[in-house]
Amino acid sequence: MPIVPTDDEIVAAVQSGREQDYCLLVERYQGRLVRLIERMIQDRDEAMSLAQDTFIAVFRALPRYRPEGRFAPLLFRAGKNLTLNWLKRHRRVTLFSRLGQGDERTPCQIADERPGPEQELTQARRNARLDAALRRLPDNQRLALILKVYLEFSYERIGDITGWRTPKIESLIFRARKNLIGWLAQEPAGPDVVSQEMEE
Amino acid sequence: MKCRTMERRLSRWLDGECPPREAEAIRAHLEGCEGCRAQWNALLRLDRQLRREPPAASRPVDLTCQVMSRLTDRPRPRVRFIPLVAAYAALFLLVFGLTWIVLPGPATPPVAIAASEPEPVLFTALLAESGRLHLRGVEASTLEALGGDR
Repeated sequence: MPIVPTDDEIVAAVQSGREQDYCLLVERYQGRLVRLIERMIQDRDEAMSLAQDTFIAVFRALPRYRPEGRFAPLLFRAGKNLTLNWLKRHRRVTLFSRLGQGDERTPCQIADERPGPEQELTQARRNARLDAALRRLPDNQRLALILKVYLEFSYERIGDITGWRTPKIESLIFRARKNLIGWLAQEPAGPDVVSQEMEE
Repeated sequence: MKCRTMERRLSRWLDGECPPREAEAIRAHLEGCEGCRAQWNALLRLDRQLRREPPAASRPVDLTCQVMSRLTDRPRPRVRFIPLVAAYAALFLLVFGLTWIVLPGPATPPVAIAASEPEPVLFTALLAESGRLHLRGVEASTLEALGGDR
């Protein structure tokens, strides 16, 4: 095996019985996978757990894998599916628990209404506001934006992972950005993030 | 290039997905359009903020040990309930069947087979009785007696 084996070479080794070689793929992709999931669900521990589940699920699917250089899309697609399922379950539970308390706000609205004193416009607070705005995005928009901005995948690669066509990806990212800019500009507590950034 | 279509183009340009000719047209438009330039600046600021990593994301990730240990601790294949029941049922039938064949059964009295009389064959006859026609079942002898044809 060469010094830096390709994904397909590692998969071939795993398929031939060298299962321990799978750790090379885990090491190669764990950072980006956790980053994607963490950005989607905004929970570090859950993201680590979901990333583990993703690696296990993909490992079990390897006997059916054909070496066409598609390991990364396969992995991220599996991660995306598990993440979206987690979001659906989590949102349902949160909504029911809130409704049980007579509170009919949706989880997104709850997250968006975090109060904060105007004087605490620190970097941490800006991140929190941005996170809240990201949470408000529809899952598809958030996923497309994260794959582009945080993982720096091309539209084509995003299409491989999500199964979406380029015009749809372009539109989702565009609408995500437009929403974020709009929401951050409407922040009631103090000057908006964009204005703050302009002053810097 | 119209301002109405610029927003979407600017987003694509920011993503580095514009062909060179389109990128050049966008650049030219931005030079002469203040409104679109403001939009472009807003997109840039948002992008800069998005790319700032929160502290948690900068922590190193190492899932290798957990994943590999989970792979080695594979669960044993579960014994399915339905095949188990089917296996027991097959075994029971086999034992029961063998017992039935091998062991002699209780003595049964011979059954006398009575000679049964042949059932009379009926024919449907069209009879004319008192000026009316009737369909009736009649025996062969009766049919012959009446002089009918089979």
